[in-house]
Amino acid sequence: MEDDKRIEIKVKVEELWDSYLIKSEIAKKLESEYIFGPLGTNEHYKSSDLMDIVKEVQADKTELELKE
Amino acid sequence: MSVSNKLSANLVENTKTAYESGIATPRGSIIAGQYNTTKPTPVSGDYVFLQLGSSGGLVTESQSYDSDTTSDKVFEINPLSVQSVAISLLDDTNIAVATNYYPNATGASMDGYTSISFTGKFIDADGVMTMTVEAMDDEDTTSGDWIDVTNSFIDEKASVATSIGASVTVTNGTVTFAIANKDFNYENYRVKMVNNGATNTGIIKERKKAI
Repeated sequence: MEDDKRIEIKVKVEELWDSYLIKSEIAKKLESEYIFGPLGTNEHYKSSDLMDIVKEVQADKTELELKE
Repeated sequence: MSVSNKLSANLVENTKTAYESGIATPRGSIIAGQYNTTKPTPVSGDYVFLQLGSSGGLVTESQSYDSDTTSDKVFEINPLSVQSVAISLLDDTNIAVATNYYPNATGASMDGYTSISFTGKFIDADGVMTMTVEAMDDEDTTSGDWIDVTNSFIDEKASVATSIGASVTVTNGTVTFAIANKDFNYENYRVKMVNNGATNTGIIKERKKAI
């Protein structure tokens, strides 16, 4: 996965963060939407890569909470 | 009396008693032990006697004896019930157009295992992906005849257990699958996946176990 795409997906994860109690569902939604639309057309990303981004966002948020 | 002399004296006395009571006809040396209703509690360094039960059987004091239940404990190392292996056969995107075999074209061995299952997911937005399972008992896995045995697998996603049918297939969409064969009595097997497009997602995970 290219760095630019990774940043784009991370922004999407952050946008969806509060809408999902089970965060792995965000990865599933994005996986599907990049393949079937509307986010992309037949763009396939590995579930594990998407989950890594979700975990990265989780880590960022935990760090922020600890600072607060 | 020294400890060794005392031990010898006891052995002689016990041998004599055993002989006189007709327990055994002496053929060579008889070693008799002492019957104890309570288990002695030796401390480190003590000499201890052989201990007999009321029927004359030797009461073992090894770690395999459970004095609470007066039975021998039996431990099975690596029992069949815990012998299983999980293998990731495929977890990739944009798999090139091809007929793919997992783990490889010459397959894998079922030796030591009886039950096998596969779970996974195929996504293809502009093509077809088809998965089948092949098996054979021929030891020549290169030129032997691989036989399609997909029909023998049960679709465990279904509410009523039925055969998965001829294949797991997705056309312009997403499919997840969980198929199992709990008596997969073949020597070799391989998973075959045919895709006619190069933009796709494929995940196949395998588990096989001894019983």
